[in-house]
Amino acid sequence: MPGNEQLGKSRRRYGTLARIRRLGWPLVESVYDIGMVLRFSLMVMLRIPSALRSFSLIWVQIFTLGTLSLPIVIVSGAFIGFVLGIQFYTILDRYGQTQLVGAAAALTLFRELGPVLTALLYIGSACTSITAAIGLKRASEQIAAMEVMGVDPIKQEIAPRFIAGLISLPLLTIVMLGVSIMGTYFMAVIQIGLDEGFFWSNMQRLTSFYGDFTEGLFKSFVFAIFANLIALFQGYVAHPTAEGVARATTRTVVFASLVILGFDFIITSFFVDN
Amino acid sequence: MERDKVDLGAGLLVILAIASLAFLALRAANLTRAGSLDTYTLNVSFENIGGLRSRSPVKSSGIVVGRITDLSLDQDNYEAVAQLDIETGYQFPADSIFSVVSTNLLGDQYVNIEAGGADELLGDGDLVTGNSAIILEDLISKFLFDKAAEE
Repeated sequence: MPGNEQLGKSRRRYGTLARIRRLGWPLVESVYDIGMVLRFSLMVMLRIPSALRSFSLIWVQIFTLGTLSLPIVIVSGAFIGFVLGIQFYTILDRYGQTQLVGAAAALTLFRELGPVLTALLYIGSACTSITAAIGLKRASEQIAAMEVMGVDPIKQEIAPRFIAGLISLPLLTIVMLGVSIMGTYFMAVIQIGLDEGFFWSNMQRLTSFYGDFTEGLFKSFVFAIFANLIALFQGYVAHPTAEGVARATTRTVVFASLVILGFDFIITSFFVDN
Repeated sequence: MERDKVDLGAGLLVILAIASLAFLALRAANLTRAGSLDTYTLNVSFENIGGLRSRSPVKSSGIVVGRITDLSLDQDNYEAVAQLDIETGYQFPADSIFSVVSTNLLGDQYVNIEAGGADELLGDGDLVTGNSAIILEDLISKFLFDKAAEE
């Protein structure tokens, strides 16, 4: 594997320029890190076509990353729906506009809450397992063994997880949206007693499939790329110790959450401009 | 992990997502109410339906008795025709007054039925004339013109 062994290796710390260098070291360090992430990302992207051929590996990962995250996504989706139903009811009741509860909840869910919350839940349940799995494979030298055997670990372990994550997160987001709309319906119509016709007709009138829904789906696709890449990278460069894997998992959650919230803001402002 | 379990699980995720997508795409719009009751159809023509929409409720004395299923424009006299599905349990006299009213000043509009006193009852497919929606702008301009005329 040309170049692989250099990932994560320590750099030269002593030399003529070392002292000056150390002043701006944090900055230089982060530039190195960005370069490493970029190289890792390119390596994964290049292996995607060959990984696609062994679909059974991807299928297993869709099960591990997607299906095993279903319970948490469904349960939290229902509760988010309930809460939105109650909150929008109390807010809109002040203006006598309770017939808009469904529309308001749907807009919030399609554009923001659906993709962002699903991505955060996915980071918690799936990305951590990616980092731990890859990190442990490195710690127990399985990755090194693969390289020795002439098996490409990126093609065999990393790329299938990346592709599966790319498929799973948008699917989970769609499930979450459906469940939370049903939750809002349950709270607003069945519990509080708003009119069913107003609820659905206003939701239909004020939300659009192309625009509101597709924006959310686009977001979740972008989130999937970043969350999975960060998780895979952190696992891949984790220090091969129990401590190292533990730290890598923490870093996955922190970085992936921050990146997703940041990109959410950027994508939203792009869409609003149009 | 057994092959079967993986297939079942991953398949479940895909099926759930497709079902959810279908639900969102239709936004439950054309879902008939689960266990919906028998209904009969009344056609009511209005000069102006205001903000009435398909699936808006039909109420009588505040009780929901049916739904609007279709809105169309009659090409002969250019009047709006609303198709009302009324639950079979509710019958109304032939001289009942149908009018478009608002839930409040800014709220959605619905059809209100004021029951009349006739012995004859409205049946399936009958066409009746209803009172138009009150258009706020018309009321205001009327008021202003009246004021101007007084002075």
